Amino acid sequence: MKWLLWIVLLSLPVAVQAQTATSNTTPSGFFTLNIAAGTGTTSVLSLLSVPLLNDANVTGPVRGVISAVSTSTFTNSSDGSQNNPGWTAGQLSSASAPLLIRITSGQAIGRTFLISSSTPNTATTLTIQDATDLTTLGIAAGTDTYEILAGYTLATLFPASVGMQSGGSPTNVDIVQLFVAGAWNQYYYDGSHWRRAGPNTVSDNVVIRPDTGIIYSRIGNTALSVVLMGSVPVVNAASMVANSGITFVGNTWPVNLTLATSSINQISGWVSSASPSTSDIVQFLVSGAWNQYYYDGSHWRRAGPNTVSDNVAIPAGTSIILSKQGSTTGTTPLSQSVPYAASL
Amino acid sequence: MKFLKSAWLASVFLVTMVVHAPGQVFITGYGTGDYTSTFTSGFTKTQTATTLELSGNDTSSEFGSIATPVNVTGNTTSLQLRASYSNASTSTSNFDVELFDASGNGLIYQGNLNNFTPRGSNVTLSLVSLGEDPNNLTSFNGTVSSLGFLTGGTGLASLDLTLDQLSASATPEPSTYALLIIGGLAIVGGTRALRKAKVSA
Repeated sequence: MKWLLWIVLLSLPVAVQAQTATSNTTPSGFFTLNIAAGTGTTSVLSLLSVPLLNDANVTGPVRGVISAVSTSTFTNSSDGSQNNPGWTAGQLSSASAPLLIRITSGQAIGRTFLISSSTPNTATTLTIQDATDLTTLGIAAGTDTYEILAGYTLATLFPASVGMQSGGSPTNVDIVQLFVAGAWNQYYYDGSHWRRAGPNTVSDNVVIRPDTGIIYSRIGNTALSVVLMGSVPVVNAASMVANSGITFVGNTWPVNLTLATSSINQISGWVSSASPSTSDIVQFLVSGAWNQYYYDGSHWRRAGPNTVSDNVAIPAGTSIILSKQGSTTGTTPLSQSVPYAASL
Repeated sequence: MKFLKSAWLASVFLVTMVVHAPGQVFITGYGTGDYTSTFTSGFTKTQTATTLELSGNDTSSEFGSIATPVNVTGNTTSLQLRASYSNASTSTSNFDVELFDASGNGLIYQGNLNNFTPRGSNVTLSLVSLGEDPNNLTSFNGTVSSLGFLTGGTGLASLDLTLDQLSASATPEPSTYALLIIGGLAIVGGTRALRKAKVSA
């Protein structure tokens, strides 16, 4: 019987470790973004998104309870314990390694903000760079939770090893297009740095948020791939959509959505009608061509043939253009529940 | 003496009004000699002595330098773009005009192509400031040395826009309006005092 006791004692730590891993670890893995080949003289477009998240590698808590919010700051009270030792001052505020804070519960669940690189964080407080008034979001201090994520930049998402066709000017090179402040901005790799086409400013640190849509315009005649490593999102998402005009947003999930499961038609103020000319529009590339879809009140339909298109896929790792009618200013969240069984 | 006092008061307010009146700084025309294109994506350009015509789809962009850098400090509240938009069936999307300093830090202003009405004739739009470009490495330094015209459409519509001239201005602030009213009242007071003085004489 003594040998049986030894077996039980020896197996106990293994069982505890397994239990710990199950309860504290979010699922992680890799995801490959595929970039279609150009012809060498003509560019081919690929729409991309970043469907995995990266935990921030910082001293102090990366998840916790928000103890207070102001217009532009979050506070996470440090109690000096091992579990909550506070952040290292300035560590969350790097322009070259930008960090994001995401609300993971409550009314503002899924809202994600860039942590300011110009106003350094303290041990307990961080400032956001976005122009959002945090006090208007219904965040419950002392109750709602957050997580800190590592954001991508042009330089970290598309390092030289990806194999971009580069050059000293934005002609005959691969181009990345982002929708910035209501217009398309283009970037190219000069062999050492990402630069913005036009002013040619170094743009290595341009931030790619989890819901950023990306157009990769590949002129090189070989396909490329970008392998992402990270965690699978396990809380609801909330991407902000302009109340009029264009929003270019990525599929933030590592699985395909369909138009019917995308919740786009549930955006507050989304205009549905029997005609695409009087409806808000979703547009994305299907087999290399731009297709447009509208919601008629019951079904998604493709503009033109008007065929029911509820099951048309918005593939993982791609992005879509949302085009809203009218001239109303401001933004409204596109709230999406986690499209698979998961918990934080 | 009362008349002189009122007249002096009116003069002071008039000078103050002039100092506080909204300024407008001409930045550039788009003709040859005024503006030199440095990078174009998607647009076909036709430049004359006085204008620059851009035609293409509504995801295109155009960048260029101006002949002489212009200091717009204090006049960055809005931007006036004079242009002619032809063909009524074209894009109705937003567009940005961006002012760059010599280091490439930008200020962004936004308008909508649909506001160029009537089509086919010169229209001046007042573009709304969106502030500093999030791409900026440092703050815009106040002196414009180059420009960008960027569209924000879906790529499925076309546009044909003839750019004419661009200027920056400061929209009058409430304090300026208050000074205008006070200055006006001072003038009325001065005039009345003058009449009374004449009657007395």
